[in-house]
Amino acid sequence: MTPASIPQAATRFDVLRLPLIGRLLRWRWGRLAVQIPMFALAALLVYDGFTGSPLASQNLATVAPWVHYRGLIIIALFFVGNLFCMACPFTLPRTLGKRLSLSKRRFPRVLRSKAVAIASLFALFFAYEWLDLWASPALTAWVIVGYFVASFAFEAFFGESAFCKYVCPLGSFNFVYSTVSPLQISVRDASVCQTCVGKECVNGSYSPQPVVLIDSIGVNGAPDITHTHTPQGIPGCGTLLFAPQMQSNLDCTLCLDCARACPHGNVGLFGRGIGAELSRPKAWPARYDVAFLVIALAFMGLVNAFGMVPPVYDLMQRISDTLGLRALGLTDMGIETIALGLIFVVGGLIAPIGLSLAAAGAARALTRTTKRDNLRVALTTFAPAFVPIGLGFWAAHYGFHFLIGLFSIVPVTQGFLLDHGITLFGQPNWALGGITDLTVIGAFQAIVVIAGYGASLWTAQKIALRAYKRQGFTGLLPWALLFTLMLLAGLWLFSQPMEMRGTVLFD
Amino acid sequence: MRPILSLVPALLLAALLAGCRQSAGGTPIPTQPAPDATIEATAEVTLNAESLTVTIALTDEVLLVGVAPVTVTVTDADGEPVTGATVALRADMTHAGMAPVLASAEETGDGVYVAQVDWNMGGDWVLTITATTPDGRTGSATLETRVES
Ligand code: SF4
Ligand code: SF4
Ligand SMILES: [Cu+2]
Repeated sequence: MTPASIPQAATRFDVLRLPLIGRLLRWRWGRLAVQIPMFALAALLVYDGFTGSPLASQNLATVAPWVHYRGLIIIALFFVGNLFCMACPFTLPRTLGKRLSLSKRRFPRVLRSKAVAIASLFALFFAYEWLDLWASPALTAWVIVGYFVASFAFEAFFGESAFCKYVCPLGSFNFVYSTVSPLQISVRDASVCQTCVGKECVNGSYSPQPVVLIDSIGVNGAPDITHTHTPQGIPGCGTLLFAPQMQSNLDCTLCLDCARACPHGNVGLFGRGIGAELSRPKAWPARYDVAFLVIALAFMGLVNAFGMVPPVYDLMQRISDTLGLRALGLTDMGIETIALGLIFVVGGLIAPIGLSLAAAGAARALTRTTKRDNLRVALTTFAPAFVPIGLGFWAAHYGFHFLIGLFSIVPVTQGFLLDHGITLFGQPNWALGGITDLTVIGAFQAIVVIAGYGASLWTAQKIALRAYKRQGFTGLLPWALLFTLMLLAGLWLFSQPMEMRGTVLFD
Repeated sequence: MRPILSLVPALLLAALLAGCRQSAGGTPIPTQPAPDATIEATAEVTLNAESLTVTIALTDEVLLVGVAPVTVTVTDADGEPVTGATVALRADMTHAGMAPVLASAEETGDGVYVAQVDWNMGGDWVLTITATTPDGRTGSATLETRVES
């Protein structure tokens, strides 16, 4: 089962074996130690969101998530890994739910698909533009509260970490782009796993229902060894990943429970090349839902940024005129809902699904592999190539807000402290912003978009050569064409001036 | 195998060229000269028994990215112009993370104060005007406005 492509030597760089940090991470309460500060931070944001300034630029609830969180998350994913999920505060009450052992059932089979994640990401991005979450501290605070409630509710009802694995839009985003991260969970010695009885990395040293059954059958039919379940042990992998088989960061929250649970100390967090898994054969399941999640997320990167440039308002007006929405007597809000909804559905769902299916179909026909591969195989093989270009789009958009508002958190924090009688940090200097030279930011945006495109082409080329051998060039063509279209859309989009409007008025 | 390897740089180059042309067309946030967009603000100030009310009216329908004057009128409860006041303006974008544009208004006579505000990005803005008289009376007004790029 162990992939030959992963070197098994102990010479691999392993974060969990680093002198101090490794010990800290493997420590039983290691995750809790980073979750508690994050929980306090989340509570602070909710508090300021409900009680502080209604102006988004002066409230922690809007500045911290929409400016800093989104920028830092991209940096962390690219240079380290899924650090947000590791420190995720939403899972704290959830862990409580689990410890209380309320959960028994598994998540319904029909919902065990990334289709749910696609829907929740779509909903979050749509709500972000439609309700102008970026302009409202109170609404943003409600979103944070919603995360806590949903995460707890799912954990109370279901056995595995269904919220993380299937529902959470933040987690789904992080899963997709952590596939470029230079760190991945794996095992030190595969032979240890072969003889391992408990498979604690996935089962946990307690578990309501073990995923890999280990009760061996004795001579008289009664089990020889029985796994005992107590709520006191170390949980196994919440998203049901099996460390010795892992080839991808998809679904890994970097909680490190596997490393803590493994009685053989066999789990490590190993270094690997940035984006290495994207061109590794069969690293991902050949599933439509996984492929469409990755492809749609790249397109949503474009659509989400499109919602913040002037042409979107012209397009919405044109949609309104074409459909005669004004004549129907709809309010401005009603028209915006329909027009924006159409843009999102077409750009974020129909376009990615339709265009990628078309590219897969074309590649299959051109390489005459219609007999060998079905459409699903032809499509899913190339899905990983959509990660870099998508990451480029998100980095360009989130990078814009992050760079332009880099230090804005400083006066906002000072203002918050002053409001609560803490004068220690002085008067806020509101002029403190970030990078004000828009050509610098524009250059950064162009570079990341083009770099993402280049990496996507390079990945697709490797996949094409492997999948289509001498027909590789032909098989790559449809995909290269699609990436080039996306690139042009991205460059056009990010060269537009930003225009962040709230309520839209229609003629 | 060779043609496939040359495909990548070729496509990149083509895309780059197309991209440059595109971005030359729509240079980000130009400082276009704004038309005679003038925001007039009338401030009535009250302290203790006197009340300062601030009303602001936009004279132009469309405000463009760029520097535009904002006129503020400060009057007291009797409607008399207030002279010698300090008038500070703060323009915030409704989007988090944008540094506010700060400006102070010069008195041009008879309770009329004019400030040059640099509307540096398109979008929704909230303008907050605070007037303070030497004897300590203050009044403020806010105005929501839209800037087009
Ligand atoms: S990682 Fe540890 S717990 Fe999991 S199978 Fe291997 S030895 Fe067993
Ligand atoms: S337990 Fe699962 S999610 Fe957590 S670090 Fe290990 S593999 Fe990743
Ligand atoms: Cu934006």
